Order: sequence, then structure tokens, then C-alpha cells
Amino acid sequence: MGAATGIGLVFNSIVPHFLAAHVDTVDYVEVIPETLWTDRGRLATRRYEPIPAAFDEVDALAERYPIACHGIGLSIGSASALDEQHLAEIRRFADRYGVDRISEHFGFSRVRGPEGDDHHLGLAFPIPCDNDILSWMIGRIERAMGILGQPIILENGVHHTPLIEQDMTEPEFLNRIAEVTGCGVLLDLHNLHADHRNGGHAPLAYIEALDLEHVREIHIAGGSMIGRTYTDSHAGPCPPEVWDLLVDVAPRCPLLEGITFEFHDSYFPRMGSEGLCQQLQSAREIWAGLPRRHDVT
Amino acid sequence: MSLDGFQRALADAVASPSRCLELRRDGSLLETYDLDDRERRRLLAVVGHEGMSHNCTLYRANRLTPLARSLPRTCALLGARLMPELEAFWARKPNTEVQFKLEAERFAHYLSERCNEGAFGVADELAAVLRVELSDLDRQFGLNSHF
Repeated sequence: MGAATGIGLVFNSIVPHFLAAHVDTVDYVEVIPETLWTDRGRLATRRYEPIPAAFDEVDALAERYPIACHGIGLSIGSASALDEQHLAEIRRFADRYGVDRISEHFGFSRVRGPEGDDHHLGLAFPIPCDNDILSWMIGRIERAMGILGQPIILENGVHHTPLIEQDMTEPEFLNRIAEVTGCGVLLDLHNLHADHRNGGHAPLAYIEALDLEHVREIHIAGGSMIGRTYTDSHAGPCPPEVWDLLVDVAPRCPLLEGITFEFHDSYFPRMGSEGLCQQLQSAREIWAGLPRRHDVT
Repeated sequence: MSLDGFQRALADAVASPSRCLELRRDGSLLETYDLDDRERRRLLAVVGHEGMSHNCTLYRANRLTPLARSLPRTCALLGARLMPELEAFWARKPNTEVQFKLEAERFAHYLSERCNEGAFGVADELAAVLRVELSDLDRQFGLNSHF
């Protein structure tokens, strides 16, 4: 199976049915490996229990499409010990499907529990971009990449509560990490849009500060309002601002391998197959306009 | 760097809107955590930020989602009793379990205990619905060695 390049879709319960009817709309499928097993935690004697039906679906997709890996469970920025068991399980997943791109979230979603296990927050938070954290993070990322056997790609998150008095900005922090470790960046344009909608930094300021040579993948998605807050809920089509960002930034990422559309399966009825096809086609038209090096081989 | 203390304090605040309000009134409550001055200022800025209420909402929504999706008929049967029972369950089990099956099993165990305590007028019906939904979950998640 070839590399996961071109236009991709994040796997959920709708995707196998959609792709059965719309085979050529994507070039790869991006799978969240944590949806394929039940994880009983660090202290469990038999920690990971595969969910056979989920693996069967991914096995079937993998016969036709390259698989990319998008982890949500590592919590690379947690102060608790690096979860090497989890990394090994991700490695097993990657080996099984010949995955050549493994992404994770830049931030933390777990805190150290009193007995060596972790307390899950259920949502991700940013880590402080300070000098002492930088050297600590570099060590963790290098160790993680050693276990994975390939570079890890880190995704910028949403910041509902920005951190003050940081030594550097997040793009500067990511630039430094990428330069030292060789890791890549997954640039989530909808996360930048969500931050901006909620009064945060301007997306283009973030993009201008980021060394785009590290960007290997771009995520696009839609969102929705909860109360007075715009959320990265993957609630349907991309807003126009995200398309504008994609048109602007994609040609400036020389090592870009893929543009991946994310939607939450519970929102699929709002969009339908036709709406999903339109999103993927719009992304493909932008991809097709990129310099020749981006073409799928 | 006292990142561990910073993350614990943030986690405790996100899990409890009342804790956030207390911290807004009295920053000295952070003294129980290992924090340097900058981290203390950061945390107080975070809990005082308007986005903190959204963090708290998302936290609760993400605790509710596994139960709503895994035990929909149980939740429907509980009706108006659902939220008070969830609040009590979360008080007993403050640690979030993000695995849907495990969280559903924990809540089912809690409800079984409540049934035994005579908390529900529909205990027999509730127990029957729980059995069906847990059985469905077992089939959905399956257990075998797939590797």
C-alpha cells in the first residue's frame, strides 16, 4: 500500500459506509487507534482489549486505502511518566497497517494519579511554552519517536483559556522542538479558527510564526456554538474562513503530505453524503493546485 | 518547573465549577499545590478567564457522552433522576474514565447499588434495561485476541 498522501478522512462509524459508495473521494483514511480497543489503564495486567468489529472495519479499509494514525491518548505533555506501553501499542497498530505518519496532540489530557495511574481529563489543555518545559518535552518526544520507530507529528490544539507569561509563543515552541527532534507538525486550521472566533490570536499570525517546512499534514473541519463559545466540534462543513486559510497556507508547506477532513459521525445527518463529497472535492481542488511535489504518486 | 502541581490544580478546577468560583474569590486555595509564583499567576488567570466555564462544560459533556451513547435507554428511563444520579456518581468516582465500555460498566454498577438501596421506584425495570444494554455493549465491543 502506498503512502498516506493527498486527501484523507478521519475514520468513524460512518466512513466505511460512505466510502463503499464513494470509493474515489479519498486517498487515505486516518484512524484514531484508541477507538479500536478498550484501554484498562497503566496498572492493568491485561491493559488493551481489541474491539474486533472495529479492527475488522479498518482491516477492510486498509485493503484499499493507506492508513494514517491520529492518536488521542498519549498526552505527550503530561507531567506523569511517558506512557511507553501506550506508545508500544501504537507501534503495533502502525506496523499492522504499514502506517508512515503518526500524529498526536500537542498538550496534555491526563494528570498523574496517586497510585501511578493517570486521571483523564477528557479534553486536552496546552502546556506552558517555557524554556525549562522545552528541554523536558524534547526528551519525551525523542523517547516517543524511538519507540514508534518514526517521527511523530504534533497537532496544535484549541486554547479556550490561554496561558500568560510564557517564555515563547506556541509556534516558536513547536519550531524549536521540530528543529531538535525532527518531529513534524499537523496544522489544524479549524483549531486556529476556533481560537480566533473566541477572541484569541489571529490564525495568520500563528501561521506566520510557524516554520511551515515542518508541516506534514493539515486538518480541516467545522464547528458549532455551545453557549457563547465556538467549539471544535467537527460538526459539519468547514466555514469559509478555514477554506481561505487552506488556500493561503497549503502552497507554503513544502513537505505537506495530506489534507484531512474531520467530522463527528453524530453530525453526519446534517451534512449527508452529498455534503461530505463536496467537502472532499473542495479540498481536492486545492490539493490539485499545489506545486507538483504534492501530487499523489 | 512544577508542572505536575500545575496540571493537578488545573484538572481539579476543570472538574468542579464551584472550585473555580472559590479560586476566583480566594487564590490562597492554590497553596496546597506545588507551584512557583508564575504558575500560580497563570492558574488564577486561567480560572478567571471567561473560557474556563466552557472548559468546565466540555469536561461534564465528555463525562456524560459515554453514558448517553452506551446506555441510552437507561438514561431515558431515569428521566429527571438522571442528573442528580450522575452528580452523585461523579462524586463517588471523580476520576474520568474515557473508555465508553468501562464507564458504562462503572455507572451500571453504581445504579445497581442504588437499586439495592431502594432508591428507585422502577428498580426491576431499570435492572432489566441495564442487563440488556450491558449485553449489547459486550457484543459491540467483543472480547477476543485479535492479534
